[in-house]
Amino acid sequence: MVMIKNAFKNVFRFKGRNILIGLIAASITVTCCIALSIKNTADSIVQQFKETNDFTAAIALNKQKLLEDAQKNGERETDLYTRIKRLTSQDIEQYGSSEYVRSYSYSLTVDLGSYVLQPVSNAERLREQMAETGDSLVAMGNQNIYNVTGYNDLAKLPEFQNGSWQLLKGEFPASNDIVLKCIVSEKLANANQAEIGSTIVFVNPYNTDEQFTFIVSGIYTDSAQISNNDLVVGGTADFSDRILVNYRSLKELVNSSQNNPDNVQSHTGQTISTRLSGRLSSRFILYSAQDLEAFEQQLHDKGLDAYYTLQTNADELQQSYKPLYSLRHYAITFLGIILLGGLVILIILNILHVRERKYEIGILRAIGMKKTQICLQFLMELLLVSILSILVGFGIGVTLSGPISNTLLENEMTAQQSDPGLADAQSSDYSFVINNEQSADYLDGEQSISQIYHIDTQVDFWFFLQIASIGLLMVLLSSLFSILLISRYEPLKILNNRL
Amino acid sequence: MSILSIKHLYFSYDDGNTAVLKDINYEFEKGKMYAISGKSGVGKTTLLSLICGLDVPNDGQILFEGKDISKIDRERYRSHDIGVVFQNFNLLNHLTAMENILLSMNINGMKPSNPKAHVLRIFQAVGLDESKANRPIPKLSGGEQQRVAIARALCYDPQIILADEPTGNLDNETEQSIASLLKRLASEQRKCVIVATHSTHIAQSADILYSLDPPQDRQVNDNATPLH
Repeated sequence: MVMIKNAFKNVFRFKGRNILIGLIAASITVTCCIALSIKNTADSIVQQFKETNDFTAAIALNKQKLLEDAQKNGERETDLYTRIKRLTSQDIEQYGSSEYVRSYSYSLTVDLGSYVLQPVSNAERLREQMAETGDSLVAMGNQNIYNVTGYNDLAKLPEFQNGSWQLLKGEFPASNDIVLKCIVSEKLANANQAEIGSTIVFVNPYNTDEQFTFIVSGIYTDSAQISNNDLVVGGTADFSDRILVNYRSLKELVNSSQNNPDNVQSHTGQTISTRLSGRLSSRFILYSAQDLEAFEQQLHDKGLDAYYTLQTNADELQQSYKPLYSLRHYAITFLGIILLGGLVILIILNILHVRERKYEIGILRAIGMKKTQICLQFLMELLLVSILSILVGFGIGVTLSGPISNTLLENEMTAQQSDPGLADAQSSDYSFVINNEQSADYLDGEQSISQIYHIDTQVDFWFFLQIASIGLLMVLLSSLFSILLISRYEPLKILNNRL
Repeated sequence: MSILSIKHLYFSYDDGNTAVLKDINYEFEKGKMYAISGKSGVGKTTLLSLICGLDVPNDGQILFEGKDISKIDRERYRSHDIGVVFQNFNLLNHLTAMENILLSMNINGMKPSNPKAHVLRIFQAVGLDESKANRPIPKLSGGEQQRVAIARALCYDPQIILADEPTGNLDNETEQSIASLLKRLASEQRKCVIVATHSTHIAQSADILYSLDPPQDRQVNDNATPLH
């Protein structure tokens, strides 16, 4: 009690010095608040982000290896491709039973034309673009081309499971149904006044004699933002134009397609069969990104050809929370600098203060006060000033952390968006046709990854405890040198020097 | 029976190059006032510093109640067993007279039922007016400060009082008053009072006079009387 009373007296006795220490301590606390709240919030958001955005892998052709080996062997890559053990839906089902896989799906995508169904996207622009691509076909007429995708289990798609997409009306086509039933987006249905039970007639774009009638069994809505980078040959650019069916019925459709003896010539002069071809895609949702390597090894052990590899959405995921990580990194670095600088200043101030009170220390030692008591006295004075400063700094820091964090995040996002490397990273579609089979070499771009534009900094009791701990640690560290100095003082020398 | 004994004490400065005290052998008893005299620089203050444990002799022993003080807790020894009155008072100027005493009591661990009343009694014993109790030290005269210093040394009732030139900075009248006070502490309160001094007043009122000037001798003052 007496020590606290004396500490209060001494705090007021050295007002100027203690105000300075208080300001420094408060500034350090403000910085700590801002930096730690950014760090904690960023960690929390990234964790949440990882939990809500699946780590996805898809089997894709390793074109680089294919080209290199073909060149080495002196043959065309298309010839080498014909010797590769093709991926089948049975293979995918086998791989999907892996202990690393949380869930999986596979799909077959076929391009079908329609003279009647009006797309949501700009079909005219699409036709012009497709005319410029290699191997695109000329005999399109006025039909609109649609991606018709058949999934092994539509209802269990992650997008339907996590609520990004919702079936508004009707029902999903059964997995084992061979009847051509489809579900369409609400936008497409509205554009064509389609209802449950409506029929849509599709044609083989390369052989319009082949016609297929689909029954609309369901209408869904998709609220997620979709990347429109999956401009595939023959496909529409807007995801809302996609027609979703079950795998089995679409596979039967492809198998039933025939080659028209009057083959169609492409722009490049190459003869291409009119028989429909499908692109088989797989998607595996792994439990953890760390399982990727082991999973890939397991696939090859189970017979996956060496020319196949796993593509993941790791880059897209990382790009999404990269700004947050950058912000976190800056915050921690800045905090480290401030803490170090602040500590040095506090140490110097404390040493100067002890030297100023040297005579007082000499007297106290001479009349029998122990070194530890004197050190505790000084520590008590420092704590009194620091506690008040920490409280004030905490209040200011909490108030400022939100606006500052969001300003920094905004700047980081702007810098991120203007990064030319980002566009390249996002552009991943590339495929070629060999013997009516299009290589499954891209990640099915249906999963959306949202960007982070705003953070609500989190402040709770544990956060305050973190700040208080840092503050007290700074006090203790800064007082260490002065305590060392006090313990080295010889009272007799001090008193003799004063004479 | 000696409360304090100095046996074959040697002390030197500058790593042994400057010998100050050579083979000092003194005995001190309770109820007597001792004066240690000598010219300036002979080692009076040094001897007192050694006795109160602020420094360590090169050789020899200082025994308090038979125990070598180099082997005991010297901070406790200074805060419980001896009271030191320094030549230049060495009071804490940012505290009042009362607070200086209360601090010393706190260091000792004393917890009287009414600390302030206890301090005022001591002030009365040393001849300090109650009105001075709450004055900051710089606002007190030299004599008053010296009395506060003596009060601080007495507040926890130590057995030994050490005073280093307690009247060095005081006028004659005050000097006599302080000398008289120290004498009463020895004779009436049965303290062992040891005073390092070159004042004749103090020397005359002491029961035993030790001289550090060569030849170092001990003189008993049979005619020692307190000066009023």
